[in-house]
Amino acid sequence: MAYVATKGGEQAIDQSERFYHALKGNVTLEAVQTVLETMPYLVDRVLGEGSLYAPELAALALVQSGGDLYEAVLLLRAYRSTQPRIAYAQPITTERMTTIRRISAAFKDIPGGQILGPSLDYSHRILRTDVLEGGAVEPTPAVDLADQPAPRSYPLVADWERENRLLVQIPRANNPTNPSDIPDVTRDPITMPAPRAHRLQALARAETGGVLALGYAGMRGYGFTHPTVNELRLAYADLEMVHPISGEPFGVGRFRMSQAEIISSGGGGGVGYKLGYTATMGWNEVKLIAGATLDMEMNQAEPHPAHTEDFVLYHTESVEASGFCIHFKLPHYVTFASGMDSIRKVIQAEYPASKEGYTSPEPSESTKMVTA
Amino acid sequence: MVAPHYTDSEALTHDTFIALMNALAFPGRVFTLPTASTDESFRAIADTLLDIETSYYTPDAEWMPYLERSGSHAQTPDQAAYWFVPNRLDLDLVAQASVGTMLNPQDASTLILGCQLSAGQTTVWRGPGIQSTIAVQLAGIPEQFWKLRQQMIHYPMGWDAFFVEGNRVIGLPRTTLVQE
Amino acid sequence: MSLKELAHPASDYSYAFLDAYAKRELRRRILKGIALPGAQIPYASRELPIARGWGTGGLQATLSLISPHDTVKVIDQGADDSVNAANLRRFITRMSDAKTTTDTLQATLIQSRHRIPEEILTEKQVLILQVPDPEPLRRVQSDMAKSREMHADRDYGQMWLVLYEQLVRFGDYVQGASYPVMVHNRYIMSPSPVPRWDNPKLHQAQHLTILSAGREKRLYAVPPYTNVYPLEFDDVPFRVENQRGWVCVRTGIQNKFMNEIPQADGSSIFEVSDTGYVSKLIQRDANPATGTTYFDDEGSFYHDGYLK
Repeated sequence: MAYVATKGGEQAIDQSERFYHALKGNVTLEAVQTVLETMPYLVDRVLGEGSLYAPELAALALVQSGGDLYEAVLLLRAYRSTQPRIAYAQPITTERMTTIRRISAAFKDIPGGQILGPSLDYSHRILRTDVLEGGAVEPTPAVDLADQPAPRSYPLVADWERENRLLVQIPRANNPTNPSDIPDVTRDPITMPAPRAHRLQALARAETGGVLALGYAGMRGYGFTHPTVNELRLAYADLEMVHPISGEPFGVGRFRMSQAEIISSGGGGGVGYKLGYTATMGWNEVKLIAGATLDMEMNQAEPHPAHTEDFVLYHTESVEASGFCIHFKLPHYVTFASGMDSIRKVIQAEYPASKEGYTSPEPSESTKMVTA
Repeated sequence: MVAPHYTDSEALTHDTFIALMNALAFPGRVFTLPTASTDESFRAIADTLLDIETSYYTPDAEWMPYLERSGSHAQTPDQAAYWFVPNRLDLDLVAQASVGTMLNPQDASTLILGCQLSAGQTTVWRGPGIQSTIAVQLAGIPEQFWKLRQQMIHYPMGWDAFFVEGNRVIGLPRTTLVQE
Repeated sequence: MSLKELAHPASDYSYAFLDAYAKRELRRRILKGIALPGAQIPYASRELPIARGWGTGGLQATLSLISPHDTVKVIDQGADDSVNAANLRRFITRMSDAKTTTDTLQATLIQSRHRIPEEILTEKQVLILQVPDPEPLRRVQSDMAKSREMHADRDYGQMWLVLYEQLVRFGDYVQGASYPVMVHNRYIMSPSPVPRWDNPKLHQAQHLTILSAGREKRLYAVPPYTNVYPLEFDDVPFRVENQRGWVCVRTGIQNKFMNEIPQADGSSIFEVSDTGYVSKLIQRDANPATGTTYFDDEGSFYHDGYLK
């Protein structure tokens, strides 16, 4: 039975979808809550790539798709597409983010200190198989309370570097005063060279694996330099808006976000240190470091072909990349037939013979083909 | 699942767009807008094309409040994406229309011009969308309009226009060659 | 007047799924596409509940044109009943309440992946083609910014070089589907991966064709009655696929584009790819009627002298 000639194609689709869902658990509120509570980092990855801060919806997307990351991101993006733009929030500055993790690899200690925050960096990666045996699970001991509450935020390492004239001067940006004038990658068709806003937006919502692969290549030497983490932060940012009538600012809510700066003196572009930057909604350290590295790579006068802006931004787009990849499953038989017609002509010209001008080559001729 | 509602506003903008699309695809032919007067037509076209993501120009101050309603912002004639000129088109004004650039010819202006169809001077049009030629009558546009257009348009650079009277519209893309 | 009368029924989506901003932007771009035959117009390209690469570009164009009064035909590789076409058709009707048909002659909108129907389309119809790669210069320039400049400068020498090299190495053009064309004597355009058989149908057509690439975020158009010529050297003419002698097992006709179906014994059987046309032929004694086709029963194209 042909894949295409299936009459009742709609019935086949319906059954196929049911089969998918039959092989996984039901989509329930409980399942969504479990994912939200137990897998916040996965949720953060999905909402970051989905470009929509909605942890519950991201958890729902994960449950609904059975944990297929690309399907989950697509679900969220499709939903995002339908949401109206009501207004723009106030810009968020680093000083006003409630920062709970802040480290710098550039210095042993920095003003405000190295704050480890929540991290598995120094944990032992040992699977707790006792959980599977149904044994009593010893909860992780709670964090010990400090004598003093931590400060809300910490001074920027980059500010110290600026004061010490270590950073290469970059021209002052002409930031638009009207937020609706900020180029928006979800509204404007993308063209290269991309405005800085487009680049940072694209990195913020880029596919983590893609960014990692390209960033890693840069770190290994395909790029121009060895990056140092100038500062990495995980934070809760307060979303503030201005009341349309009274003009008074008010808080809308708080969301998880993270950012990283990479510093390097290598490559062209002036004497001193340069910074690469990436921020994203949710906490996703791998993406931040790789992204910030790529931000710097893309600024090189002649980056490696895999680190041009064109290459990086187009190929780290989760929905586009995964969608196009799986589209190859669609029937392509007409295109194939057209190509086969061309190839047949060529073969016929090369090896004229009997049956419809087409014949399998003799062993000696196949050797000829290889060396030709 | 019930299909989303086909509201009156959806119907208006849909039918207006289809008329504009056909007018540009078949230059010189008259297409009908879902309106009852020239004013209504201009409003319908504004509703269909304008919003916060684009810009307009109009020499007619009375029209500005309606055009601003869409969220679109006013621009100078040479920068505006859409011109709304309900009457008395000035030749000096036309000379300021944007023809786009070689890299971005689609950035050129679109001129929406009120005039009289089926009256006045007859010109003969040919080009994409026209099977051989079509004779078009237009009145209420400056006498030297066609000469100026010929000077300004160097395909692919050039502006595109719609002529509107009542509920009737004729399209003139930059690809059309006009003989007086 | 009651609130119930004033308010529309609650709905999660705007008509045809796309919100007003999305529709307006698409419509603005489509108009410019018509004014610039064959030129790629960048557009925002909304995400849809269908994966990228699966027809979101064509879908966006269809959704910005559709109304409940339309009749839409959706095909993939020429087949209405292809799983993917069925899925797209399901989405479109769910969101628009438009009627559907498999009969080309009844459709007002035809959304197609990689084929143009065999029956001649008229002025009242719009053809929407799904495009994976809008850039015909990709084979000579992978950087989109640079290829865009090449189009601006009409810098097409490298394309001719590619064709020339094919002639030297293989004795013929080896481009199968997506054969590049010159539109209105200015822009080189990819007709989308339609077979060469379908390329001529774009030339001086009665209908408007909109081509849209959702993932790559470019759309372009070929207005009616516009010149569309394949890239070819004067002394080596462009040719459509050689399917002479192929007979359709389902209808017995020849000279319409066919699918080749390999058989277990190494032979092939053939069937006409345009399934809507096939169903009408099979029901020839009953309605509905078939229309005039671009290629007649002997395989001659309806515009004399176009194919050499």
